Amino acid sequence: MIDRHHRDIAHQHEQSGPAIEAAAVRHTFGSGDTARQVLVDFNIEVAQGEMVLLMGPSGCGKTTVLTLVGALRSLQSGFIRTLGKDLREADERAMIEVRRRIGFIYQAHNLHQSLTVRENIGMALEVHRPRVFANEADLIDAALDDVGMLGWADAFPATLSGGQKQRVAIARAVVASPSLILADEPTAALDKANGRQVVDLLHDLAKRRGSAILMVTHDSRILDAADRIVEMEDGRIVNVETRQRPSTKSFNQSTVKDRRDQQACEPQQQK
Amino acid sequence: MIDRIIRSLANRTPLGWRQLRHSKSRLIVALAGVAVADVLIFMQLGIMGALFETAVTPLRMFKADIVLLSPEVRELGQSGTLPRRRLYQALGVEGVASGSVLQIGAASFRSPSSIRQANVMVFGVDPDFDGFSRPEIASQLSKLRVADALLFDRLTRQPFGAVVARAEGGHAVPVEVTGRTVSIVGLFSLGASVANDGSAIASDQTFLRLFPRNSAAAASAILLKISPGADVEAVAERIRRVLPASDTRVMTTEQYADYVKEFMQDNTPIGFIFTFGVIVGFFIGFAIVYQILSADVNDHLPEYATLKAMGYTHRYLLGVVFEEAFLLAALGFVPGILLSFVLYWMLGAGTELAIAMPASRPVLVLAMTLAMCLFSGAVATRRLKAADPADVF
Repeated sequence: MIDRHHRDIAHQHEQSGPAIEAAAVRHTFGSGDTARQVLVDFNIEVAQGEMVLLMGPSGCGKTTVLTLVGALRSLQSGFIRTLGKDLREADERAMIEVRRRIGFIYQAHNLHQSLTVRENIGMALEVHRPRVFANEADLIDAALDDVGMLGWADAFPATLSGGQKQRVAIARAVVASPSLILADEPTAALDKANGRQVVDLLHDLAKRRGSAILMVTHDSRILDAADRIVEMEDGRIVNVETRQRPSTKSFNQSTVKDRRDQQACEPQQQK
Repeated sequence: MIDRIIRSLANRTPLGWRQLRHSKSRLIVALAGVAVADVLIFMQLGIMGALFETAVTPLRMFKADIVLLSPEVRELGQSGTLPRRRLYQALGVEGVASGSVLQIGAASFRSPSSIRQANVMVFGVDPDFDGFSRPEIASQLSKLRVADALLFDRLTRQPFGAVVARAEGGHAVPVEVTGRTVSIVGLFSLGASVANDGSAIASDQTFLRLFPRNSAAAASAILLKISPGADVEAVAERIRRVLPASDTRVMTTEQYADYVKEFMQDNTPIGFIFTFGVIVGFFIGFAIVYQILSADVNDHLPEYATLKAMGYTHRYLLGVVFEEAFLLAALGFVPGILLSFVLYWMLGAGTELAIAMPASRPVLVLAMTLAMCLFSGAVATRRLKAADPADVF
């Protein structure tokens, strides 16, 4: 039944063509003597259902790509189409509409400390009001179940471990079945086991829900999760590596098993 | 409960309330700040109202529906005079049942046991006058038929404690008034006002002996009672058409009370001082609430930026801050008004001031509290502009 809800939402976000198209994108911070160009003729295309890792040294422009593609920043030069929307002429309202169709995951989970886990995830559905999802509670439960956090639905973020918070943030990002997920270093604050688990979860969820993922990361431990790895340097793409991944089915089976194994080893958190 | 109310009214998660509730110490400080500001405003309004009320308290002794005064009227005792014949003209107006002349003057009373003096307002009335609303005065009027006899206000400020104590024992107590010795033959309770230390009631004949410059042909005020069932406003209007506006001003008792209060508000330091106090209270509350809301917005900037990144509008975030401001106003008002009731009671008991809480005052203060908090919220929302969704990455 939950899958049917996911499909219903996905249909509303359905669009043809790549999730992201960017061409000849240039971006400069500052002006005059202090001006610094962080993107130089940047080009990328991310297909629906594809998971792309964006890697490179600090300051090479990875995060700027995310903010531009995510309609969080105005485009200065070049072309970006996100989820079928040309961002060159998008006004504030149009950019907000694009953001609502994207799931964002941050290095710092940025959960509301005053809201429960369930309410935090509900905020990602509430943003679509006055449109109301058919079964918001079921959608939230399904998202929590997907990330293995259903038992913590009424807990506050302060009572969760770092890995658990990040899993809640993932549930928040995917609950409305967005067509695109933009993630910035989602494993940076996590240990190896939790980091791996988060990436596998993301991959698993993205494949099942048909979302494209563009993830900025420095974490070399998760490279095998990607369909494609894009390396950047000084605002330019310097290398693109397409990976041969296991089939979705076998990957999902392995990641779910791993996740269960890790949860079994993890100490139970008090609500 | 607040959760449910906001959810049903706004159809959204009560984020503002949750944020306030999450930081309990900050919430308590904010509510205490709003309550203190409210108490300050209530006390200023209460004391000002009580002081104004003292100016019209003497009028409340009489069963008058309409009062005729000189056009130069300010407050009782400072009202100039009008011709006595206006009483007889007014009695001829349809709807007027009875009337009486009232003489008013202020005199220095000296206690026999002290060299200190008290400024006392003296009312001169016909001993047969049936216009006092207080039985303790009406029952003693016959004592005033004796020359130089007075009824004296037992709540007169010191140094008349000994005089009152002797009069309470049933003795006629001599006091000196403007160089003339008169006897206190009875007591009543009225209370001091801003201008006078107390009050006394004399017969019209005794009054004219104490105030020889006053004329029997003139009156300080004329008190009229209307016929049962008559409309006081309509009767007053009919009297206005009969009496010349050049020497007589016609007001209902309530109009006169409002007039005196407005006069004092606009023309005395009391009005200015207490209005200034109300403004100070407002700005103290504003400053406290602004500090709290501003700190709260600052602390939640990353979360607000995240909401913007998720697609929430700036207007939504303004709504969250205003939700907090509204809740602080509503929740802070409750302890503010409760504490004010207690302080009114304590102040009234300690000063004999008639400090009361008219129904309109809580409405006024609640409106001021809402304005104070929403204004604070409006200023605090300027910080929301710093919540840039691009910064959360």
